[in-house]
Amino acid sequence: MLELGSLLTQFLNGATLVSVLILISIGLAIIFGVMGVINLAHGEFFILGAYTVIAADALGLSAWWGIALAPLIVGLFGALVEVGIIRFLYKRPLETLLATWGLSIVIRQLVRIVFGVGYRASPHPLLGDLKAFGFTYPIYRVFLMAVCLAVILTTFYVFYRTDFGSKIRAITQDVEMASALAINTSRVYLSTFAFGSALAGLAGALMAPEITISPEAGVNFLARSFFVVILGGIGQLAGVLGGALVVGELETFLSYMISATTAQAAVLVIAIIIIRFRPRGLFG
Amino acid sequence: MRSRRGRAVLAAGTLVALGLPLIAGKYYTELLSQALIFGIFAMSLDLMWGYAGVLNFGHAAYFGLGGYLVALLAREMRSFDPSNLGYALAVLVPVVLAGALGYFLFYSHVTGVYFTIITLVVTMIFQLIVSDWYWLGGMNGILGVPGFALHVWPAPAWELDSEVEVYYALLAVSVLCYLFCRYVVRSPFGLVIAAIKDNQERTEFFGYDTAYLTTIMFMISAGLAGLSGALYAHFSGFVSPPLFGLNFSTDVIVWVAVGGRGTLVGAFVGAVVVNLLKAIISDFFEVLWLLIVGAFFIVTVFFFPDGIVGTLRKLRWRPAPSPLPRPASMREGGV
Repeated sequence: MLELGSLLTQFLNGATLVSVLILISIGLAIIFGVMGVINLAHGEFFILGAYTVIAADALGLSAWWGIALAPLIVGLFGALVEVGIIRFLYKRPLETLLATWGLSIVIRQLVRIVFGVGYRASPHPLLGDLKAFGFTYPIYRVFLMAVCLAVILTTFYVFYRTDFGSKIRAITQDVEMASALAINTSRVYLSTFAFGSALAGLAGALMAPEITISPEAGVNFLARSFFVVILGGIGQLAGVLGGALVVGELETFLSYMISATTAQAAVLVIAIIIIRFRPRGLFG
Repeated sequence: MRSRRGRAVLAAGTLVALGLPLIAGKYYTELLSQALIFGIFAMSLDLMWGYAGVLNFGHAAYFGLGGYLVALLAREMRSFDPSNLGYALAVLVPVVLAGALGYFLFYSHVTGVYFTIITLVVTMIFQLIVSDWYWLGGMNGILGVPGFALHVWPAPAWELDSEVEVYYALLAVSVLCYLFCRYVVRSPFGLVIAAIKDNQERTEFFGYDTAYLTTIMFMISAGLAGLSGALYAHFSGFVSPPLFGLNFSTDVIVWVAVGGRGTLVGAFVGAVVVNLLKAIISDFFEVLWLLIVGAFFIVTVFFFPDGIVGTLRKLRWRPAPSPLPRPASMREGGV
C-alpha cells in the first residue's frame, strides 16, 4: 500500500513538472509554429515572471498579485521585443536565434544587477495539503495543474474557435495567401509573440514558490521545453502535450532512481535518440 | 588572391605576430597565447558555421572534452608522460562523438536551426555530467595539468618554460591548423560543402551524399576543437565545468562573428580582439562586460554581419582578372 502511495506521489510530481513544461512550451511552440521564430530568450521570460512575484513581494503585495501581474508585464515586454527586434528578422531563423540569445544575455545580466546574483526564494501563496483517501499532496501543486488545464483549454479555444485563431492558422499555412486575404499579419505576429511571452511569464510566476530562483535558472527550462516542442512535433499544439508528458514523467521517474542531474541528462539523450527515429516528432 | 596588396598584408601580419611578444610584456604575451588557442577553437567553429552553414551552439562540448581527456590522463597516468597520447585522444574522441551525433542528426535531416538547438543541449548534458561526477572533478575541475612539452620520440622531452617560447610554439601550431583548414575548404570536398550550403537539394541531385559529407565536416571541426581544448588544458594547467558551458559556446560564436565567418583568419582576429577588449573592459567594469556581449549579438545581426575581415575584404575587393574563376562562396562565405 505504501509502495502504491509513493508511486502515486511520483506520478503526481511528474504531472506537476508536465504542467509547468506545458505552460512554458506552449508559448514557445506557438511562436515557433506560427512565426518560425526560435526564441532563445524564452527561458528569461520565464525567469522574469518569477522575479515579478519577488518584486511584488518587495512592494508589499501578496504573491497572488505577482502571479496575476506576471503575464501582463512579461507579455508587454514580449510585445516590445517583437516590435524592436523580431520584426526585422522574419524568415531569417539563424539571425533570430543569435539576436534572441543576445537578448537573453542582456536580460540575465540586468536581472543580476537589479535583484542580485544569488538564489532567491519567493513567498508561498498557498501552503497546506490536500487529503483524500488517506493520501496527502501539496495543495499548491494541485492548483498548478488546474491552472495548466485552464490555460490549455483557453489556448485550444482561442486557436480553434475564435476569429483570431483562424487568422493564426491561416498564417501558419500560407503567409502570403493570408495577407492577400486582408489579414494584418504583422498585428497577428505581434499578438502571437506577446501571448507566448505572457504564458512564459505566467509559468515563471506560478513556479516561483516551487523552485530556487536565480538569474541562470531560465536556460535549464529553455532546453527542456525545446525538447518538448521537438519531440511533440513542430507546429502542433497537441504535440506539446504529448512531448511534455514524455519529458516530464520520464525525468521524474528517472530521478527517483538516479541523481536528479543524471536523470535530466539521460532524458535529453533519450530525446536525441528518439529524434533519430522519429524526426517529425512522436506525434508528427 | 595573392595580389601585391595581399602579400603586403601577409608580410605585415607575420611581422606583427612574430614581433608582438618582444614588446608586449609577460601579461599580454600570455593573453595573446590564450587568444591563439581560442583562435584555433573559433576557426573550427567557422568550418561548420561559415563554410557548411550550420551553426553549432554547443561547440564548447568538444573543446571541453579535449581538455578533460588531457587532464584525466595527466592525473591517472603519472608514471609515464602521456601528453602525445593526450593530444591523440583529444582529437579522436570528439571526432567519434561528432560522427555519432552527425549520424543521429544529419541522417535524420535534422539540419539548420534544429541542429543548432540540439547541439545547445548536448553541451548542457556534458556540463551536467561533469559538474555532478566526483571522479571528473565535480564543480572544482581538475588541477595540476603539466605545461607544454615537445615529445619527439628518441629525443628527451623539451619543456617550454617561458611565456615567449609558449607563444611561438602556439603560433606555429595555429599556422599549421590554419593551413590545414585552408586546404580543407579549398579541396574538392570543401567545394561540395560550399555547394551544400548554397543548395542542399540540388547538390543531392548531383549524386552527393550530403548527410555523409556534412558529418565528415562536423567531425573535422570537432577534432580541431578537441585539439584546441587539449592545448588549453596544458596552457592553463586546469580544467573546470565552465569549459563545457553555454557561455563559452556563445563566446566562440562572438569571436567568429566579430572576425568574420567564412574567412578562417577572421577567427583569430576575432579571438584576439575580443579577448583583449575583455581584459581591458572587465578590469574596469566587471558588470558591463556581459551587457556588452549581449548587446553585441544583437548589433552584429543587424549592422555587422560580415565581421572585421569580411568587411575589410568587401571594402578592398575589386574583381581582378584571375586565370581560374572560383565560386563566390569560397571567397565570401558569408550568409
